[in-house]
Amino acid sequence: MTSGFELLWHTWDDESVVYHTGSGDTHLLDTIAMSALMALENKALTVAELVEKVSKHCAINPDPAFFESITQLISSFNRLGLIERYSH
Amino acid sequence: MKVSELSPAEFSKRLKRRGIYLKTGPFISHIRSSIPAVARNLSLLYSDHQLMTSEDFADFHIELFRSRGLRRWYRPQVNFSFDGHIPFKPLPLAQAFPMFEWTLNWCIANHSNQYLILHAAAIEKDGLAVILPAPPGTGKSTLCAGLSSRGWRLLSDELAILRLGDMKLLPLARPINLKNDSIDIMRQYTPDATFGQTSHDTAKGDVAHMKPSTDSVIRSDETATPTWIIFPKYVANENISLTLRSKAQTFIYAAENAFNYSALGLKGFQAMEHLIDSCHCYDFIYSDLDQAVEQFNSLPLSEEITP
Repeated sequence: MTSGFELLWHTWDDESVVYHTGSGDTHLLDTIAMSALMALENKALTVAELVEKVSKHCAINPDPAFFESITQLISSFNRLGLIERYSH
Repeated sequence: MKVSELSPAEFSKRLKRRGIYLKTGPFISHIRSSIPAVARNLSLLYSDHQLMTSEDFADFHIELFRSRGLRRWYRPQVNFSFDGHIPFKPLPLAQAFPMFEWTLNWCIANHSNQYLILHAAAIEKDGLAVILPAPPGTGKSTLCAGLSSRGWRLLSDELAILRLGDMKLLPLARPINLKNDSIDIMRQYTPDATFGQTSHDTAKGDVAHMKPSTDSVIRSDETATPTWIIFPKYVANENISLTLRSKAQTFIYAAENAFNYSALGLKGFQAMEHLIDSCHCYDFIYSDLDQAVEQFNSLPLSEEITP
């Protein structure tokens, strides 16, 4: 996650809104995006780890297409300032 | 004192000289103008509103005045000043009253961050309110005018004002802004209503204002509980329908179309979260005003659709 900032959530059915205290922006997330962002909120993960977690949580086959969609999701999160690359 | 207690001549004189202190909902505006059309429409359409005195605090100081020089005679224009500044370009003089309405909306929407302000109409019955957000051209104002003439109290035609904290809707009963075909539709639907003069060829087409009911104005301190958020859409010859709508998507739409959601930051998010959580959200298609009124009179109080 972007350090020093919080995410505030509200979920209705299979959609969520999330407010980022850093940017002040609010985003609409579907189940997969929500699952991915929640996983990253807990700890830094590699793409492979994130694919595994989200596929389990959402009961989706982690095939190459899913891997690609998670990769794109990570890029979107990064572009929106919701996450940043973790360095040891 | 009510506006109607002054004769049109006295009102016009006062507006021209010291200005009037007009109470609209929670706001007091100090308004000055020597333009006859502004005086005439204000006197007619705000006749039930309260006039305050110069001793009262005014939230906004507004003046509408004619351009000077050549423009006094050639294609005359009207200017708007706010606290002594002129934030907008002038408009043709014939659009002086619509300019007053639009700029008063602008004053409220941009200078009232003690509230969450949505771009939406709002109406109330039995203490429960419907918020009607919708893009222009969807029939929102027509529906709002129709409902307000059939037992619903007008809270606002353009600005749904939510008090941070208890999230009650505050009334801001002002003339309803009707455009193009809606003007004649409402003249026929509410033959007893009072309409201001029609301004032609504005940026929004032909525009006329319908006076709010006396009841809506008198009860301007009586808040209402937001209970439904309904996105209306007029579709000719279409069957009436009320369908559940995603709450998260309603949140995003309302936030993007709020005037000050971003400015309020975390408070804005929390307020919107509370609002969406406590309201039933629907899409509504209608083609007949009487049917629409009937549907609104039996809105579900749970997430169900009535047959």
